[in-house]
Amino acid sequence: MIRAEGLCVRFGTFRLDGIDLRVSPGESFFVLGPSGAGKTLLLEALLGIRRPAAGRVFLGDRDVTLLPPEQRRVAYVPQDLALFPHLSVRDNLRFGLAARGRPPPDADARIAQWVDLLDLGEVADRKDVSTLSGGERQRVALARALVTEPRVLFVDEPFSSLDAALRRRLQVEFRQLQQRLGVTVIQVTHDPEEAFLMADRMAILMGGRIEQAGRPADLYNRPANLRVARFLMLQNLYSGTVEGKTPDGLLEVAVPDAAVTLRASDGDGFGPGDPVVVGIRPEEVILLKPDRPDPAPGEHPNLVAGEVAGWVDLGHYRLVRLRVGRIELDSWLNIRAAREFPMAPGQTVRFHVRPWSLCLLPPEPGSP
Amino acid sequence: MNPRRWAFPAALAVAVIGALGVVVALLAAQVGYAGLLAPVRALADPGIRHAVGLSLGTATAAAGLAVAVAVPAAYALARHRFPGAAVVDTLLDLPVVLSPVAVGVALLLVLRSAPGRWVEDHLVRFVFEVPGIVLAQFTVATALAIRVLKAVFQGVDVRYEQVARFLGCTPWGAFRRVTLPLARRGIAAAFILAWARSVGEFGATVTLAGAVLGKTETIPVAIYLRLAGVDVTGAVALMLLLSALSLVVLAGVRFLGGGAR
Repeated sequence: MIRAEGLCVRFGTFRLDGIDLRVSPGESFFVLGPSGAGKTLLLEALLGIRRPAAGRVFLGDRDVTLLPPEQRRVAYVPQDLALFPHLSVRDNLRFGLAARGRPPPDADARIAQWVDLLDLGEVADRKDVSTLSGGERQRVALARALVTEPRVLFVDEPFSSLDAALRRRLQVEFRQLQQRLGVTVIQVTHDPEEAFLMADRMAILMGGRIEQAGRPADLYNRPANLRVARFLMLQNLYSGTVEGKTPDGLLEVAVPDAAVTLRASDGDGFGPGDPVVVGIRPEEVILLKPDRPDPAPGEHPNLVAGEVAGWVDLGHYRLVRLRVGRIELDSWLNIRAAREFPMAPGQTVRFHVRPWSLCLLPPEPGSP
Repeated sequence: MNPRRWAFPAALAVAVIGALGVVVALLAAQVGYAGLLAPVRALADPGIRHAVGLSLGTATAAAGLAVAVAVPAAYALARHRFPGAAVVDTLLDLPVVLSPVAVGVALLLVLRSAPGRWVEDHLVRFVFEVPGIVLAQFTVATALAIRVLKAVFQGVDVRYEQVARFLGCTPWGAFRRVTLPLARRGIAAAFILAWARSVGEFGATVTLAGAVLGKTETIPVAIYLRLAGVDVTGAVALMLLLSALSLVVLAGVRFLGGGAR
């Protein structure tokens, strides 16, 4: 549907370099990156608001790199939504249909359909768009864009200004709507949760470069490098060395700082003797309650004993910091489980990590 | 009482009262000299009625033309970066800071050049004619209108235009359907400022169009002619008339600017 080849954009001293993207029809594609990564710049280059220094953008089979916005048949919902303040809600919705003079005869029916789909019945006849609530503004902006039946909908951080509960509800609603209608969406966000919730595929943009692209599960399980891993909140990173391979194909990785050897099923490209960085997601650490009987030998390949260094309760989960040898390891415990888990600082606990929960990354200069 | 607590507000109050005092003194002196009804009596004079009509007419024409030129020019300057933009910007400010007499002399020199003569002979006569008044006022007012409107257009978020483009508008369509309506109040304010500047314009007008009695005699020129003829009462009556007209215009600016969203 939309394809970018070798896109380069300059903005002052900031550069987007060699961006390649491909988004299929009906796909929800996310550009995820920290603030200042160049996300909006990339969106503007794909849209044609900003002319790229090099590279091309295709819509379908057509090179649209130099095509003016009004001829692209794509829609744009900017971060501030840009509802026209001088027009009523209905005139905002009608705007795209009347852009080339007279609106088509079925304009009112099309608007009514989107008012219905986005549940705007109560506000569609408001005269002043500034009286709308955050969620209503959001939906009016989406309806205004979708009424024109765009080939691609470009959305720039549309939920960032809403409070948490409303944001989550609208994210789910918008994702369901997108799937039901099969709209192709390219959305930009700095919030990994939003991307994991709403994306079919996503690209991680950092410092003007795409570090990794793929399905959310792939990025979650196999971050391409330490930068991506850290951005996706994989905090537990330890340096180790591949020691060998078990008969059932698991890699044995020694982590000297913790004085343990872990078994990992993610070993593509690593062999005995290779230095690696081991990543363990806090939510993949399984704490064993102290009153449980000892597990059978070999039941948990990575059974480790540690000491409770401290914890904080964060609403629906508890973040427990464990000390193993010279390393510290964060783990998440569901708050219900935490209430039933006798815990004291300095107490010894056992935990295990499944072989497929570990991810192995190539070390980088300055990595742990 | 701690003097530190009231010294600053007191200084502010003194400044406001002082500034207001100057204005009140100006008006009171005029009223005291000629009487409150002097402007009304002055309007009985057909010559003065002509001067008022001429002033209103030329100022309206000059302000209209100035805004018509300034809207696209200011929009271009506000939206587009091009090499030499800063130079263009500074040059356009020149007529505002230049002494009006100097502007008038410069206009005369232009109209005495070969292309200027051709325009005078074949298109419009400016020198010592009514169009000369409009040209003089227009030259000064346009620079002012561009200055104001550039800020107005910069105040209209470019996102609105971008969204309008993606909804199918051409650049002109986005300008007409989104930018112009959003800049409406600013454009009205620019017109009124251009009008106010034009109606009080004297230096450039008198240099280019002269002070021809009953022909190129605007209110400021009429005041000057009364003073030159030692008719101080007549001059003051006209000054009060000009003050009244100006107050109406300033009130209009407040109304249009203050009510803005």
